[in-house]
Amino acid sequence: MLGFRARLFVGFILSLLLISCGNQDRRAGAVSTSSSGSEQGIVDALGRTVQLHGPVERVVTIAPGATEIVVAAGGLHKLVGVSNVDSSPAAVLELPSFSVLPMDFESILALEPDLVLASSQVNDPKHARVFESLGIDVFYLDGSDWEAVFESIKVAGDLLSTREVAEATRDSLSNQISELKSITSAVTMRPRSVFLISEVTSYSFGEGSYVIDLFDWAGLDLASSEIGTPSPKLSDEWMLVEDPTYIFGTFGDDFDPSLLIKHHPTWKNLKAIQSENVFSIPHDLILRPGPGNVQASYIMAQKAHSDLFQQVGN
Amino acid sequence: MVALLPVLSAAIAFGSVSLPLSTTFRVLSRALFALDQTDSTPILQIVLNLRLPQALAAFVVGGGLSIIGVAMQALVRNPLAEPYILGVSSGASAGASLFYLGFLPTFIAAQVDITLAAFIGALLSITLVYLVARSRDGLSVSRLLLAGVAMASLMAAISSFVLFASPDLNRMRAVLFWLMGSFEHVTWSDLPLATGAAMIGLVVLMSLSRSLDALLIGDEPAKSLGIRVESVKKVLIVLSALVTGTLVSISGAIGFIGLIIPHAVRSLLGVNHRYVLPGSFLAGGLFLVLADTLARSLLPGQQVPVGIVTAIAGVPFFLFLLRRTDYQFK
Repeated sequence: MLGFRARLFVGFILSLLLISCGNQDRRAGAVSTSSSGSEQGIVDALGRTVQLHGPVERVVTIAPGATEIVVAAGGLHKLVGVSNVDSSPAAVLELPSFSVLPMDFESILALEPDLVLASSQVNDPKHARVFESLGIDVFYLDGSDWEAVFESIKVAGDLLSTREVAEATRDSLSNQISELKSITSAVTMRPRSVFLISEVTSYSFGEGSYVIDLFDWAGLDLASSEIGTPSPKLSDEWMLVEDPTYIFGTFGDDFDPSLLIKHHPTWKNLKAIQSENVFSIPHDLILRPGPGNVQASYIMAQKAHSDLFQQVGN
Repeated sequence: MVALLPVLSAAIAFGSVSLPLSTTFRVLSRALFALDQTDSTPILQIVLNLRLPQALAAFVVGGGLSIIGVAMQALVRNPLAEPYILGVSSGASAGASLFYLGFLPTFIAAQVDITLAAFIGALLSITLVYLVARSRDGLSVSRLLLAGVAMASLMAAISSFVLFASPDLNRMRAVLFWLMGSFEHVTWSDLPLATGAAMIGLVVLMSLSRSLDALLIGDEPAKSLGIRVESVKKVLIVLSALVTGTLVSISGAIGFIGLIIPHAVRSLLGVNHRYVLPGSFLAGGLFLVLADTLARSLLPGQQVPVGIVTAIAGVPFFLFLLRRTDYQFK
């Protein structure tokens, strides 16, 4: 007879086998879905091959990032509903909205969409199965960085039959980036800068984040890019040692810089605070990869290198 | 006591940025002995205005929560008891969440800050628990426990709803961080309050150490030994509310300290409260200072909530201790 420990061990091994079998079944399901798609299908950010049931005239987006991509692709007139956390552009505030946390499938169904557009960054992949079971086409757009967003604008143009507008937007955004980079290429010493998501809890962007590129375009050096995680929470000690020249953040429109010192008293001697180089950026432009990132980068560049922009103006 | 100096030294030497040890201690000694606090170099700021007050706060909070854990375990004669068993932590969390996420009426919100809101939440919660548990025959321990668990669930539900309903992601992040426990925002001005609360707790409990020994063997035997059981229970509850409410409002809800430290100390020093209380204060303080140092040093440039570290580091150690020693609660 097996002892208690031996039985415990056998039970543990059996549990692991069961769990791994379950995982294999799920992987096999994903592969068969992908291989069953026809040639006209488009592969989305989850690797699903989506074949639309017909032309798309009514679109619902379930993430702000997806909404921005649809608008950039020229599909605003096809939007019939957005999530209740959407706020940009202002035109979408007039549209019917619904909860996405938890997902209000009933309200979405009532909008009779031909297509639901989701973001692979924020929307639950499991929701795809629910939409499919309701007979609604759903496509997950890739919004992992600004390059993926540019590609998603093109894909959205294909899905919504607005390809020309989508390509024009893409070209325009690429040109704006090139123009900005050309202006800031004159910066010889890029100022060390920090981005804070809030004035209270100092979450920021670190290694691998799309925001590093936005600072680079603006002629700035994002100091937290050396921290080995995409969204570090910066310590007060780190801020004191870094002593950034500029602090940017999503602090709101009526931001009072003294709030930073209230929440972080030891920061009062930082260069950025002393020189009043603390600036607020609209959160819709920077807190997610999207077409607005280019504008955010312009704002930061104009705050940090106003002299360069005066020269361009002259 | 011998461990206090090296542990505090480690807390000052290590953090989210690495500083040369020699510079750190030179700066510290210069500032302490020459009283030169006007220097604004980053190292001085880090050592004197971040690491030192945080380490001292961690010591008094850890000590205070541990002795209240001892008192609660004696009060309810249950080894599972901890400072938060009467809903204090959940009440404080609900108060902080309601205030910070803007769910309090303006005329109240204008008069309080997050610390005071947390303290009021804690006090409200324990007062309700006490009123439910009180009867003509005295204080029912089983009712106290059940009401505490129920109140903790209610307050946790309020916190969850407020977080769910909050439209402000930044504030939500701040509250979540606070709920996980942290000394990140502690300044020198918080220390007198935290130290006062912990010291009052230690002095009062030491004076009741004989009563606590008696409570562990039951109400009737305790009465036969001349202990005024009902009065002692009331004192313990009020003391628990004041000390835990004050400490939680400063550091957030740091779990496990008040549960595991008393048991760890009993396994080493026995059950006599004359030794368990000071032992728990010291061990709890040292443990939390070490946990906070780890929380500040784990990830470069960042600070992990200390509540996560106390659970991850403390629980395996506690389980090991339980397994290795011939432990007795009474």
